[in-house]
Amino acid sequence: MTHPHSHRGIFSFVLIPLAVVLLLFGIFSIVWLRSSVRTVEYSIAQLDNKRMEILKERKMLMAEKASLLSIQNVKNTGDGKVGLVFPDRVKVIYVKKEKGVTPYKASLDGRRLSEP
Amino acid sequence: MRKRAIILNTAIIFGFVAVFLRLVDLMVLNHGRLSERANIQQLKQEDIQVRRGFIFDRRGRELGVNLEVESLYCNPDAVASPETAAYAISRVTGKREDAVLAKFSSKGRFVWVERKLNLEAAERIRKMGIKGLGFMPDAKRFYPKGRLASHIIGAVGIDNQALEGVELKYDKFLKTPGGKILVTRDATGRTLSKGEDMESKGNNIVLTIDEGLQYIVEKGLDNAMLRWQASAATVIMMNPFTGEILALANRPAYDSNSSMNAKDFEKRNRAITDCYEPGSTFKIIVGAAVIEEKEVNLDTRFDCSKGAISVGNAVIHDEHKHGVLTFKEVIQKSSNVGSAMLGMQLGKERLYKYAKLFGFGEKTGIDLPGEVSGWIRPPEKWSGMSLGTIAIGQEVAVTPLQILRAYSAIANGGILIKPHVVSEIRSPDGTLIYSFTPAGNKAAISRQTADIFKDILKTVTEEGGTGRSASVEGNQVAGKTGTAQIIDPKTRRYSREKYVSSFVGFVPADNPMIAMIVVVYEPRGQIYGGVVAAPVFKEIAKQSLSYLNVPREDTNEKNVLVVERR
Repeated sequence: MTHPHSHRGIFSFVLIPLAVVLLLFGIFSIVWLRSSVRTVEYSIAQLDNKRMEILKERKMLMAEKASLLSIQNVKNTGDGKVGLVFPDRVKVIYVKKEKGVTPYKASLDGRRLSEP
Repeated sequence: MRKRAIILNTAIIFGFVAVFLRLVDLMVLNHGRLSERANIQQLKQEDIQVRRGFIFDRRGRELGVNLEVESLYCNPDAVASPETAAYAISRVTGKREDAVLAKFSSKGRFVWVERKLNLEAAERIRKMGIKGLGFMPDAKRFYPKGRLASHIIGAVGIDNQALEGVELKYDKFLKTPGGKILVTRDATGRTLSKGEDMESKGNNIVLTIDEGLQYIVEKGLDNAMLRWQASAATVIMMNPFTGEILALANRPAYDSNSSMNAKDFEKRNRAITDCYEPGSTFKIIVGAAVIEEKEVNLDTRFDCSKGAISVGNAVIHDEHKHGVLTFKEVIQKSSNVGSAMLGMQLGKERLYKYAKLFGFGEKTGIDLPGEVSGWIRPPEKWSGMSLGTIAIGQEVAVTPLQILRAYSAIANGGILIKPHVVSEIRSPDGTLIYSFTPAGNKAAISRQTADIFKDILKTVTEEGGTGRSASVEGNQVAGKTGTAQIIDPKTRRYSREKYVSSFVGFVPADNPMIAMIVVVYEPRGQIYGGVVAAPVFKEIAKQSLSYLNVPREDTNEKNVLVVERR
């Protein structure tokens, strides 16, 4: 007669609270999970905005760089500030690259410098 | 005690049942209606920001990019103090105060105040906290090189709609459809990321032009305009083997960044939209034809000693009497009388046939908008003098590009190539979408004829030739001068004051790297192609060969540093 009673006691005092705790834990886990997803979504949105801002800045810088590096600007700077001149074709030395293996060896008049 | 417990249990169970029923009501029975209401509150439709693709030169230098800007709009009814707001905005934008004020007096709930404000100006206005104003992200097309290559690149309008040039011709590749995207926002208006890209970018275009060569050409053109006080001028530089346009420029020109303010005559791409009578540069048609048809050889003689010849009702003159000339000298000295004799020897049908074989009277097919086909009448409509006048480049209308293409055929061994300005189209992630492939190029003349004629054209820039001042130190130039009268629209006769001076050729003659035409319209002081256009050719060619690292052909071998791999 005492046996079934003790089983019911264990059920009442351990399993039911455990089930309730598990249920609550489950519910709160879901809520926490959803809240975390939202938080991540906010963070991503913030990062997205930041990314867009940086991309905007990058585009502006790229446009500025393209303007500054225009041949006209380079030439004006070269001529005016640095004092460079357009090369005289007579004085230009052309380098002929011949087939072979590395390393390169320089020579004048088609002769190898290493030759006697 | 037990009774109380029953009551408490019942209350709790009742409470749970009530909550459960309410949940069923919210989540099952009214789910559709409520979620719809939630969506209306939480979801916001936003435009995907559309950005045109970039335009690059052949070395990847940016010619057309986008700037991120903001456009300012207002709800006129919501602006509390229009006068104060107008004053403040005009201080930042530089726009007239009354013009801004007029916007605030407009009807409607959405009025643009200022389009395409730079981010700094937008921020300054934003900080003023004027009620009734709003900002919308926008993109502004920006051409970092300004006026450079504006006739090729083209321009876009205030809404980034294509207006001219490559921007127009390749609009379907450069633009992107955009669309809308739904974003979730909370009660405070903050948006939640869906992880989708809010920007859609068009494809990038790689042009065949080279910024360096384009700069050299434009500088040469500016100098020519200044020197000759001309009404207009055009230069086209092309790879004679592939048809790649390396540079193309016209004067007058405009800045693509302010195309709205440009006048129509500044926007005209004369290289392909304007026809002119080519004059002597057209003599290659009759010259190449008589060689191809084996009507003459280089030493065939023509008596030009009278300095004039009657063809039909017309008398064709030489500038001065040449005496007896060989065929080669007829071209070298650009004798009108000799060329008319060649034309008569060739006959109508064959002259027309070769003009067509060289692509005259037809569009070249260049991938730029507005090209015209030029004009040459069929032989049955020729007058008695047409045979002589067409042989010397009158009674035909051509574009500078058509002439350059014909000379490129001489340079490349007789093939009529298709000029083009776009080399590649790539998606934003770099995938190749389109690459130009030469197709359907036809032979205008045989390689042998082309080689013979190339040798004749070399003599034009040598001692005794009309294009002596086009010769470049160290590299042989093959080419031809042209001086053509312009028909006066008032008298409908050839003007005695207005001429078109031109020089067309290629260099180095035996292994051409560039083919180029220089056309100067209505020069003052001098009229001859050899005096006006040839020096421009020389100056541009000299610098271009340096830029392209083309060695001089007369380079002393001792000055060549040879690097060998061992």
